Amino acid sequence: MENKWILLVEDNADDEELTRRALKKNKILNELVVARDGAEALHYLLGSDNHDGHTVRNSPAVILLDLKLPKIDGLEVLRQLRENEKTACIPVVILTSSKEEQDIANAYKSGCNSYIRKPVDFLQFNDAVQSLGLYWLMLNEVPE
Amino acid sequence: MNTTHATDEAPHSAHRLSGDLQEIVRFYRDLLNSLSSYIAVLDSNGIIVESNKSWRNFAFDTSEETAVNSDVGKQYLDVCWACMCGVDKEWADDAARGIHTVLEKDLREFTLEYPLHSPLEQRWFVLRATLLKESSDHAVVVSHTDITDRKLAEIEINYARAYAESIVETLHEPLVVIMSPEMKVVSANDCFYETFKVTPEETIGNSIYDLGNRQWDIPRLKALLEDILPHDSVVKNYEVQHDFVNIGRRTFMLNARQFFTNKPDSQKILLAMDDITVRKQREADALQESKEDFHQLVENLSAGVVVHNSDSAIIFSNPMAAALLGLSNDQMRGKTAMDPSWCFLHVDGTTAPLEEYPINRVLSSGQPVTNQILGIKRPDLAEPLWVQCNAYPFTGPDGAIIHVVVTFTDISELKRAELEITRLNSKLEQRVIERTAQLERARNEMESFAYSVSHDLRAPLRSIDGFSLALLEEYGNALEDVGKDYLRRVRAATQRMAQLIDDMLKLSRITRAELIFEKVNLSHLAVTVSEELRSEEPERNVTFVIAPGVTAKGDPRLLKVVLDNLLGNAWKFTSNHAEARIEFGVTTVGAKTTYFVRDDGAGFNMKYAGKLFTTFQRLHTEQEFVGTGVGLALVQHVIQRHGGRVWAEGAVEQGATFWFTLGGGGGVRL
Repeated sequence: MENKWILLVEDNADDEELTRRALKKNKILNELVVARDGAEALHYLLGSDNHDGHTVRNSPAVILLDLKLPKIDGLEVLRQLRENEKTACIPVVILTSSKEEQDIANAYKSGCNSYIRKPVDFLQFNDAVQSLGLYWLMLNEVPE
Repeated sequence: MNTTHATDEAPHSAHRLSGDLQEIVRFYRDLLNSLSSYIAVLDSNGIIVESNKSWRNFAFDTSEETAVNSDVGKQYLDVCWACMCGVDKEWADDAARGIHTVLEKDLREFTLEYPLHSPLEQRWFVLRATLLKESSDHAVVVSHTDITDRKLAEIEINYARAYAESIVETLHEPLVVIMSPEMKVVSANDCFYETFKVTPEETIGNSIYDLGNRQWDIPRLKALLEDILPHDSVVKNYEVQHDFVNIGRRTFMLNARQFFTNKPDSQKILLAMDDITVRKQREADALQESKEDFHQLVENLSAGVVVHNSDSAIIFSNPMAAALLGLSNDQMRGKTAMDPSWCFLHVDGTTAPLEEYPINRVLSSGQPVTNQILGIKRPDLAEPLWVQCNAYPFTGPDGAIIHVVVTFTDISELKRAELEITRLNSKLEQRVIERTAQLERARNEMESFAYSVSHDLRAPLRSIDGFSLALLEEYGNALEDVGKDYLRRVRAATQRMAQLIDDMLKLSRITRAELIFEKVNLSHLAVTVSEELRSEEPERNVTFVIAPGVTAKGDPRLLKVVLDNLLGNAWKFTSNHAEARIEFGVTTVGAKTTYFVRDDGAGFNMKYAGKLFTTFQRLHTEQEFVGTGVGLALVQHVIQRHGGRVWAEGAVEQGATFWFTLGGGGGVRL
């Protein structure tokens, strides 16, 4: 369980807090690492030298990726992850406000594994996080 | 026939002759008896001394008395009357007188033709009394011969002649009969004398050429009568023009016919002369007039006309041709050199080679050239003059081209207008491109705006809702009920705002969407929507009445939005009723196919019908019926983009009917 950590790529602190809260309420206690923008996420995952020591870690069990991000947007992050052998197989769940057809289609084309629109109603969001944790952390298998 | 005569064997005779003489007499008597004429021989006193068989038969046939009276030995003059029985007394008297004259030897022969008509037939005879010889016994031979056939033929001929003459006389055409070869006039009709102002005396018997001081000595007439007619025997419409002494210059149309008489060296010629002088003059005048009219027309024509001969040389041109081509008459006729820079141009401005000139195209193909557009590059004009050319060949009887008429119409104005249109079009196109680009930019901006709204406006709402709930959950115990209620209101407001944002986005998406027109089965769509609604609230008692087979031309996705909203509204506004009926169907309103969705729910006050379709306008409170006021605005938007119209009828608590039409399929982009 310990090595199954979650990477949340989210620039909105409120959303980060709400996500943490939903995880906690659903008793998902896996480690949550937060990247504030696309560039940070890429650095973190692709092992840039000047980062703070996470470079040697194993891959996260799932990446929760927002689309609208500072510096490098979510779709670009996704594309680069898929291009890199090291990160190509990491499950990526798009967690975003947008419900635009175009965004959903592009996300899947770029290789996301799931697309979830953040509900405004926290109770619905809570349900979504619960399903998400159960599925990606408990049921889903990934190549080592 | 006569069968009872005892005297058949020998004519009666007062003398007895002997031997050979008797033989001779018998021979002559037999001869006499064989003749069909009635013959009697009288002595100098008029006593019948001899008669033949025909005489006796006739007398016997006439009557017994006649037979007795005309027998040998009777005085013929006495019986003349009786013999010529049935003849008028007058004729009989003439006959008696004539015979008497011969008997008296005053005349050697007397003949008289007389009629002898019976009610059954007309007959004619000729009486001939001939002094035989000086003897006293046989003085005169009297014969009556039947000439009925000849007489009838004569009558026939006379009638025919009178008929022919009356025709000739009534003709309004001078007519002469000439006897060839002397060409003497045999007869002429009244019209001939009137026309040529001559008298019969100076005409009949004279040579036609000699008439009136040889004024008829016309070479063409001579040729007709002496050369042509003997060959052809009939000549029609032979025109002769001549100056006549009495009547001046005349033109005659001659019709001649040669008659063959029984004299081979002498033929009769019937010559009819139709005076066509006036007619000819009228024709000439009319021709001259039409020539002048034509000349006037061509001279004043606004089109250039040039006539070429088969060698392509110009033989005629009108002033407009000279004006358009910019060439003098001499230049056109090749008498004066043309400026070498003069040439025809193709539509694209390149020089047209000689073989492309209309005249040469007609001469080489033999076919007309129609509507050829050519430019004329003239040394005296900066811009080429544009003309539309038509060229038409005129061919002779053998099909060879005699001349070619080429016409030029100035279309420079049209050409200028065309160029101007092309220029304006390209300008317009440029403007359309620019405007399209502007629209494209605006649309992109709108899209990114909508994206931002969708994404960014929702994030704070999530925070408000999420932390309100967190507050309730974590610190609910510290709050009084009123405080908890406030937090619930905060959360309800965020939900509502989220809904508003979503609806706005939907409206914007539909505004931006491209319409894809196809045949849509509205009945199927309505059934689908009704099933969706029913699955959301299966406990409700609602009857859907959906007309089957209703189709329309439109965008299926957007029409689904229309039915989603209209049927959804009907579902929503009947929710306060225990039972409801929702209907979808089609009808015709003012010849237009009109669809409708009807319910028996809450309805609305018609006073506010105008506000129904305005965005975010609502007729009910959120407490009565939830909603954002976007649905009907969406419906109207979609209908209008389809070129249709939507309107509503209703009354409070009596349900509502929403009507809509769809345009022909063209669609309107709003």
